Amino acid sequence: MTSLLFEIRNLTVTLPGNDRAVLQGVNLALAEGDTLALTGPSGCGKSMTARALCGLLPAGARWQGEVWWRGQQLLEPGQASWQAMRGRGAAMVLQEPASSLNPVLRVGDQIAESVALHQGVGMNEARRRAVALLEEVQVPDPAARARWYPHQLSGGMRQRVLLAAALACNPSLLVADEPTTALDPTVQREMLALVDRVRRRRDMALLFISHDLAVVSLMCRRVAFMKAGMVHQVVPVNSHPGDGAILPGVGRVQETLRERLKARGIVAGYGPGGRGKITSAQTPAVRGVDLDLSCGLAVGLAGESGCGKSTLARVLCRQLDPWEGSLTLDGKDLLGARGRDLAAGRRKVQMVFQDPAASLNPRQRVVDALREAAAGTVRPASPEQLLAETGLGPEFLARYPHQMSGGQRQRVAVARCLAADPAVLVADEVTSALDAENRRQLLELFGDLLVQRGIALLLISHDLDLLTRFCQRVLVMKDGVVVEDFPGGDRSQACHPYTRDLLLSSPRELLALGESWSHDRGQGQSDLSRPADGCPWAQRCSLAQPQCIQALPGLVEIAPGHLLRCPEAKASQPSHFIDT
Amino acid sequence: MKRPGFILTTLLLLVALTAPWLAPGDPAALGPVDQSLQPPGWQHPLGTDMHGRDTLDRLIHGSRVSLLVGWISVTMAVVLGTLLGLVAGLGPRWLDLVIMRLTDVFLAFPRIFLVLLLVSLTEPSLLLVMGVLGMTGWMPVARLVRAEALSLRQRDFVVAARGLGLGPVRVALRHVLPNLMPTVLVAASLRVGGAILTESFLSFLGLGAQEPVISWGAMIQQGRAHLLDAWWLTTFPGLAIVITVVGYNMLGDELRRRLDPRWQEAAGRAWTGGEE
Repeated sequence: MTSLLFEIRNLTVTLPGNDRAVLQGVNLALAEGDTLALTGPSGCGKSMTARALCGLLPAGARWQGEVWWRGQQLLEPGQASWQAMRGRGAAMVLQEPASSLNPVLRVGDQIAESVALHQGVGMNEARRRAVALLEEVQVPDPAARARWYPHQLSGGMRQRVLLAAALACNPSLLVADEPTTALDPTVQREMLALVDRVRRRRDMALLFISHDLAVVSLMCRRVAFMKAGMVHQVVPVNSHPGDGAILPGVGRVQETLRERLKARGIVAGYGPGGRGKITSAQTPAVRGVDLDLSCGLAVGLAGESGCGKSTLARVLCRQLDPWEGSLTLDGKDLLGARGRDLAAGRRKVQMVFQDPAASLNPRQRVVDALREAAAGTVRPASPEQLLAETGLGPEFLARYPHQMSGGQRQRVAVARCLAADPAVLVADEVTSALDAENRRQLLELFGDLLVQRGIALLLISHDLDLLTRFCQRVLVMKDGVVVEDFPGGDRSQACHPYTRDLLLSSPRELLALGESWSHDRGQGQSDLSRPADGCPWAQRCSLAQPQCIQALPGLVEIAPGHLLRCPEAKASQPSHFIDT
Repeated sequence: MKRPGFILTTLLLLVALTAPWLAPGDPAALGPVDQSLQPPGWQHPLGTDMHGRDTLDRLIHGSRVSLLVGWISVTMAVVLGTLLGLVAGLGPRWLDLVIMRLTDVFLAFPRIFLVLLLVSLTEPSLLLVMGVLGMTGWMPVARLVRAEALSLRQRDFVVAARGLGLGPVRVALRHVLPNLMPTVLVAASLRVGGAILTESFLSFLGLGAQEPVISWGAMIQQGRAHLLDAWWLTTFPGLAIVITVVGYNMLGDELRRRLDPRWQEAAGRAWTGGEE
């Protein structure tokens, strides 16, 4: 048996201003070169455990218990033993790469700083080693990138820079705290694979923190489940029950669907263009999208950040005027509406926001918010009724938003939407701020609304995996255009190369690949230059032909209810997907 | 003693409210001739002026004028500034432009010259001073409120309120205004001190409160002739002004700490760390 790297015994941490301990007797141990995942709902103490291990507890925190590092007990934080441990032994990579880097320093210098400190070399030598580290984390053209500032790098690149800085001290333990949560799925896959390869090559131990069981299962041998400041069980990854299977599935499509919202040729963007005045210098965020939403039908809209999905949502809710296109609700024009008609139109298309804390007025009680929202309807629903419909009791009526949990707030936000008696609900990334249990409950609530109210739902998410399971139809957007529109439930039908790449990026799919998941798959096989008018995926597409960059392929119906914007993919057979 | 500003300003308010009981009699009435220019002593803790009037009594009555001018002029400035700032921040773009350029024009005049000009055009009086201070103090408030409103209008709950078809006035009053009240209150309390200082300055120049109304600035002005032989006539009103201004500035900082969510958030983040 290999020697223990660290051991935490009965660790209890109390924060100032809070009587309840955030950690209540945590016991954890990790051997040299081994991997361990920490998972649990938000607020369970995952991050606090990692910070305690690195001696980085917030100021004023009191702790009891023992932390052993390679057979040596670490006492008070701030002691020399901790600092040596932090530099030589443990390195951290945090969730938010944007705020973990100093915006006014070149990234190469930030890594070099860490190198110079821990390896005791001069600044010139440290800069050279920093470039080597950037190369190790697969930053393209590392010598040039080292001279860039953080704002010039994408989120994935920033996370690589942080990893390089963490590797500067040759750590024997890498602590990664939700390192990929803020990243798009394809970038997340590359980042996870990179961490895994680097870990194997350097024979580091890894403590990986994530609320996503699938991600955790990819990265680690064992997983520790935490809840309310305690570790409940530590088990090998292949023995835990999955969490994906309990998602509510695709509902049955009714025979006759009444069409409610109909959008045609929507072109929209920001900046001083205004309607009908598009200059060549401006690139719209949404470039001609058609969308139909019908009663009782859930439509999914997937895509990476910046693909235009939120812009489209704002257009549908009449919060943003499109540059071109038409929008009708039950056959009535929504774009030309002004004054009272506009207000009425807006009420019919309600938006549920990503962050329930931000979408409720912090100085308004639940009952006032609901009453206000219901005031415009012919027969206003009572606040109690609305809360009951979203599964909350009347005791929530008198509460302010800060007196509720994230899941409860999101329910109140949905109840407020329902108060307006809407025809269409647009839910923009509503699940990404919630943990697994709350996510499942919210989706169940949406499922009920689809059936009972016959609401038309547009569910926007970067999680294509989730959409294909929950929605009857799924649209995939890339750079402002819909590249594929396929029936949900059956993922094997999806055949656009970009859609397939997104699907394959989901950690659950990667798990099915087994040991080989982190092998470098290579990216961007085509040598085509940046497409101006062509297919947005052409540069990284394995099927790309020269004509792909010259003109945007048309959206063609290849099967009933299945539209595809790729002439090449039609011929090729869809690859294997695990059946869930 | 965690909130010295709050305690100080409350005490001042109590003194001003109970002035007729604390210092009975007419503070402007002439005292006995043999009592003129007495130094601080048992009978007159802060001495007397050349007409034999007790300085402490006059200070107590003067506090009413100072606070009245401070509060009323700031209330005027804040109400006007909030209104204009809200309209600029939430209204159409052209109105925003008009209001902000108007603000720039007002800010381009040094306030004190504007005040001097307006006051010297007519008979000096307390009412005029309050009005003029109010009319020339709204610009910073308007800018503050506009900036806050611009960021609030992007917030999800305001977007949601508009999505519910609520009218612009209701959105402004029910959803935006309550959320910028902390900012406005902090700005207001910080400006009270400045207004009191300006009033004292104007009274010192003889452009503010006129006899028989007592103001701290006017007391300093009257004591100026005896600066060398009766130091108490200028020192104590000066001290009163300093204490009041410092008190309101501290109150502003204390309110900011209590009300501004960014302060609470910053404190909260230091505690809970990177969880979530």
